[in-house]
Amino acid sequence: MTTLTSADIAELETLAQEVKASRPHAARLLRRLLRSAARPAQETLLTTTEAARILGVSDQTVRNWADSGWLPSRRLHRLGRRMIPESALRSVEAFDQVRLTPKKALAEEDAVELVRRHRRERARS
Amino acid sequence: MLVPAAIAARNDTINVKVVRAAIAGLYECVLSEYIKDETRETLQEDLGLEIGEIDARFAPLWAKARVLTPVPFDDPQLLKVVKGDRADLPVFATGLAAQTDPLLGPLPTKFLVSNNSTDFTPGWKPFGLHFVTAQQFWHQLERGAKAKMP
Repeated sequence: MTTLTSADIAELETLAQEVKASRPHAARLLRRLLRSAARPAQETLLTTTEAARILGVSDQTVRNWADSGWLPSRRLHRLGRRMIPESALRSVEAFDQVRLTPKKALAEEDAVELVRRHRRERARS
Repeated sequence: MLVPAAIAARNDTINVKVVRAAIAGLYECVLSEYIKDETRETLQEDLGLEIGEIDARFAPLWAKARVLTPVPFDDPQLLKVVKGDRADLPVFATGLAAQTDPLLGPLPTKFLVSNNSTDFTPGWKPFGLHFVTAQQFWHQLERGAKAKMP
């Protein structure tokens, strides 16, 4: 995709102005192209189902969180479906991508006791 | 809660869900350097993990969490809360720091999330800080959003 500089855009706007009388359709097309080129890159949006899969919750929970404002969301139009910006969940995926493999397997309940013991040893030292 | 979340093989355990919710910004997560160091040390010394990989795993959480300095914990009243065990004071004092933090202070409910039910008795609310397990906190997160529905 070609990126237009501000000078390019100014030149094309001038051209659209010049051909407006002789070729109105071409001028309108040019303006539409310019508007689309000037629009910032669109953010990737996820459906509530996709967001729910990432967060490990139900669709309804994601919709509730979005309604409460706890999770950012957008509607593409007034009656459209609620969408979740992918950027809001990108860090969650970054967390998932790093896996730690301890040298010994440990059950979750044993981890609690391990931390307790460590905390007491730390306080003593 | 952080240690089991760090080593969990799956994403659907409660501890991992609570950490992922913090990273997603569903609640304001408060940590202290003490808690971060304790997590690192436990994983490093007791489970043989490298500090680099531990920090890589937690980087999104370290970036998102609000790191506060624990309130001074020489008050004998605080020692009563942790049943006389000074080892738990820095954790409790981190929770209390959220009460006076200018951003978090006005928030209505604050939880100290710990699976250590022996030292932080679930259901207890000393100084307005709700002691809950990760499971109870997750339940609150889900129910809290529903409660706001019309």
